[in-house]
Amino acid sequence: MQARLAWARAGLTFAALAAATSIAAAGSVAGKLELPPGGLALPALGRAFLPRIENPLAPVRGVDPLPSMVVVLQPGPGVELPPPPAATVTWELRGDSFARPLMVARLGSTIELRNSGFNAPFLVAFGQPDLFEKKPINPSDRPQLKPTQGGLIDIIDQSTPYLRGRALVVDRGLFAIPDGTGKFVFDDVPAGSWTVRVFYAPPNTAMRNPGRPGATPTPAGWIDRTDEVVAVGAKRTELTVKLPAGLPVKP
Amino acid sequence: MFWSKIWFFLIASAAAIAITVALLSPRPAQRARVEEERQRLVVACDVVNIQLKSAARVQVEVASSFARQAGVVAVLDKASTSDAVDAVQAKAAQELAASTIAGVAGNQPDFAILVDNRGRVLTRAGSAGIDRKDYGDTMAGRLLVDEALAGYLRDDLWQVGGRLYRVAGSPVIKRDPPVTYVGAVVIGYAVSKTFAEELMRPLGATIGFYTKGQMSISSSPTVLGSEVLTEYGKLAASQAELDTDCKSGQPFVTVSGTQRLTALVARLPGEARFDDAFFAVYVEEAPRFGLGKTIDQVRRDDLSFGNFPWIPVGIGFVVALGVGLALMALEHDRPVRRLAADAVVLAKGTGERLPEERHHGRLGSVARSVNIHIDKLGREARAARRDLDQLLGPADGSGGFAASGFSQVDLAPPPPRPALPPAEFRFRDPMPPPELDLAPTPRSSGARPAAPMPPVAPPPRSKTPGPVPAGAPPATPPRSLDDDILASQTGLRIPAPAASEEEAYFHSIFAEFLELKARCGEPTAGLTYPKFVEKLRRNQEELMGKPGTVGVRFSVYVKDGKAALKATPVKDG
Repeated sequence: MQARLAWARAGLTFAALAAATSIAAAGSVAGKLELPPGGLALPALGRAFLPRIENPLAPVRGVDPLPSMVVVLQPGPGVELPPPPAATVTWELRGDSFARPLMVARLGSTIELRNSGFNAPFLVAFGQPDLFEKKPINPSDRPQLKPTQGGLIDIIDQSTPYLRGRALVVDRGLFAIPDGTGKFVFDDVPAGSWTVRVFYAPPNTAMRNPGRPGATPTPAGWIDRTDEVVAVGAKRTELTVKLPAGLPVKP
Repeated sequence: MFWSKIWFFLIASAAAIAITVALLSPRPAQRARVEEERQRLVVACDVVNIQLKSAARVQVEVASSFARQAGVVAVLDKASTSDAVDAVQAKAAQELAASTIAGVAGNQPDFAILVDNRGRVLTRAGSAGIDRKDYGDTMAGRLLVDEALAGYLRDDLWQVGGRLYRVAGSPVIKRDPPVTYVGAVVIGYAVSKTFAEELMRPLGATIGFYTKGQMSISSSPTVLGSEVLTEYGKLAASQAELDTDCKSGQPFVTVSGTQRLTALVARLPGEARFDDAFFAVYVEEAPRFGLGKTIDQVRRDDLSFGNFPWIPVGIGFVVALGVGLALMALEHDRPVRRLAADAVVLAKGTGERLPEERHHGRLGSVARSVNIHIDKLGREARAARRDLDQLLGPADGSGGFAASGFSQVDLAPPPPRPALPPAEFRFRDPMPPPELDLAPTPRSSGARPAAPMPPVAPPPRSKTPGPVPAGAPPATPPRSLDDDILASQTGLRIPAPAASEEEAYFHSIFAEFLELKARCGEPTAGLTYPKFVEKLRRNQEELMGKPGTVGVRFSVYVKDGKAALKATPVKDG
């Protein structure tokens, strides 16, 4: 009996050492998204009686695309992807818009919507009618979404033409959200070959309620560029991701 | 009557044309009214859009002025640097916004919303369209707010709680160096009844604003029927630009209670478009004019001599009436009177025939028909007289029966005979079975040769022959159809008895007749056997021509104290 316990202790010790060795082998990937020069002009949508007028005091501001981007590392052949942690991602709805226009989560995670505004939007997922309960989300409600497949969830409010949020569910890969300057960091990346891809959900490029005549889902997808392939080792990998002008996307 | 008919045709044609014109004439006027109504609605619709644009410019100017208020810039600048909006900030900003609203000269906004640089609501102020307790939520995402935060001034149309608001947004810029965006101002004006009434005041129409399938506000209490939503549905499904709605729209008729209204709908732009916002301008439907309603609209002025051609109409009426009466008098009344007068003359016996040459057309035909009948009667009378003469001898005593005491020949009535086959032409029904009971009557006509009768030709239709002079035998004695039939059926006779037997029979009859005459004290001079036999044979032949007659039996008897001879047909079977 004691001998058995000794073997068990030895096994556990070996497993712990193996895990420690594996973590030690993981590296990190850091980088920055380099936006194309010129920026993005805010498209004129939903004109009423008059065309919009630029103010005479300061130059108008363009659209910041970074909140609508996510950097994803997709593993190359032979790279063992660690299982996703059982996590709940909170996505805050702050009145007439989400805190982030593009949310990201790994497949298996739960996305929790938190309505902190004063409205009661009637959210539906475009093309996935069963993802939400068919009822308004009242202030302070916290509905949860459990995606069953990877890809984009395009969420719209049936009662307004403007409220929209996109959630990217990554089924195979790691993701990082760039900060306001475009910097991103991946920690604990298993060693191996990885492909860096950027997912982009352009904001305000079209009428945002596809349920209405003339409106279509806004294009969203991977930015059409030559993706970098990085070899992750024990050292930190630095890279700069240059994005093409116009930020074209492909499905 | 020819010209009367032509005239009647002309008058009927003129009446038909007049009725057609009367029925048609309101329609072009009606179309003109409908088109005028449509134009009125189109103009009203266009004017509404123009006024809404004009109002939007004012809104943007007010928002811009609001955003330039130093206090507004200051509170937003401070809020933009704060991690969260607190109640104290919100309250202070609300008071500031309320006082700024109150300071707007003229049309004051119904609400104002201050939004910081992060898109968070610092405060809401005003009397309608907002909840003044709410703050701290994010309005970034709304099209107008996004553009205002990006530096654009613009207007929009929002739907809040079933009500429409004309809103305008302006960026709030801190002009002190460094020049930075610190937020945005949103002001709103409710689309109120007063606003709707002001829109319609110069147009004389009514306007109703709709959103989400419900009327939001109207310039009058009139509520349109469901047709307005149907028409909007058609419009919403079209891909046409909103600007074209007024000009390309087709007015439609809808009802409101007992009122019939003509309406035109146009979509509203902006954010409210997605809430199915539109407006309808409508006017009371122009009354539909048929002939009756057109006549109802006639005023006394319209019938005055200055506005209506009474004189030509009166002259036309008199001419039409006069010509019609004249034609009737010429072609109908006068000929009828003439015929009536001739008929009276005929009835009085002062004339023998109707003068056909005085009558034309149908009346001439009537005269001819009457004359034909008169002539026929005359011929029949003469034929009867001739038969009597042949039977009794000429009245002048040259050997006739009457002169020789052969006073009467009776032909016993035979039984009814079957119907005769149809003849080609006949003026009367088949003769009844011959029954000649020729009692001695005064006779004035002289003896006539008993010439065989030729077939009777149909009398000419155009002109009947003139009257036959009394006593003059006709060149072609008329025969009745019976004569023709009798003549044509001689082949049906049964074989006659042997000549000797017949001669003996005739002798016996002759003897009996002489004897009876002598007994009656009548003279027998001039009564010879050959004449007697000839008469018997003729009667025999006549009777034998009747269908079913197989023989003739003669007998003598006394009638009225005189000897008489009776011929009786013997029927077959």
